[in-house]
Amino acid sequence: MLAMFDYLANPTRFRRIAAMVLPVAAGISVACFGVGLYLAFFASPPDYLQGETVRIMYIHVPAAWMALLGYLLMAVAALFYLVWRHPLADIAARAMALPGAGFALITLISGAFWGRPMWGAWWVWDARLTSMLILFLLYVGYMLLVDGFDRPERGSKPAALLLLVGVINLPIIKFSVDWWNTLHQGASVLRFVDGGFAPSIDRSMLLPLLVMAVAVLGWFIAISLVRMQAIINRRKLDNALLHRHGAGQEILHA
Amino acid sequence: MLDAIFAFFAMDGHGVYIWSAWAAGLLIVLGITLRSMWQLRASQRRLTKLTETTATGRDKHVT
Repeated sequence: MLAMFDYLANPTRFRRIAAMVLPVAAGISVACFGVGLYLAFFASPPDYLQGETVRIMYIHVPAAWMALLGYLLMAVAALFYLVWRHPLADIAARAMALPGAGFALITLISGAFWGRPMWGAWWVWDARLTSMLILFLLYVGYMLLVDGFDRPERGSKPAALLLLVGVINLPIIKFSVDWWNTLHQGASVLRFVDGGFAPSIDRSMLLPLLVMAVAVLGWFIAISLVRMQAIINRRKLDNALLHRHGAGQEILHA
Repeated sequence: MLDAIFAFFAMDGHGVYIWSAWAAGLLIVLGITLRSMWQLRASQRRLTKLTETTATGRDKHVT
């Protein structure tokens, strides 16, 4: 009972915070997207090797960053949920799954459209591409698992465990281009040179990349907040209906 | 003028790949946005309906 009151109290606070953060994140996202589009298509030069196809990078790379960051955030939320049993952490992880999966899919599709003209292949089963596909499948697996139970809360724990196990895939994706031979180019935004990390790509290409990354992050935050509120609403509905039909409550809790 | 626009969209012969990649990205982002907003609105509608029926004492057929 105490836990339930705690849960019902917190979402109210969450709703207040969300109401403040959501319009800011959405606004920043739209503004950065506009600027990012201009920079990506008009203010940045074609690549000396890849020509105009480098413009795919400005959606491919920010999407890939967000797919990785999104998964990491979900894993942190899963850890919070498993250790402190905070329902809001579980709700956050559930809310981030679809936008995260969306970015993993965008990375794969835009990568295919980049690979075809540059490598002559839509797809190759090398380490970077395969590990990215696994990330997408982890997202999909999480969504199926977390919603695969009669009572929604039953899926939370196994799905959180899946998220934590899947974290092993993140460094594999990041370092796959260093550990294995691959068609995929190596890291070029931050590269270790002369004892320090420095961007190895030109500022005219780095800027649209970073602006697009902010746009993508803003959208991810805004959509996750929208989805969290929808999940909270659905749980309130479920709880209210359960309490109303008293007999049903006993059966479902047994 | 028109040639410049065509040249822009042709992207040195790689236009198909570049625009397809961006279109796929935008489509996915837009789809998730609409779906999420629709789900939030639907849950809010159901919730207001529930509180209304509770207030008037009718407690059947709330979904």
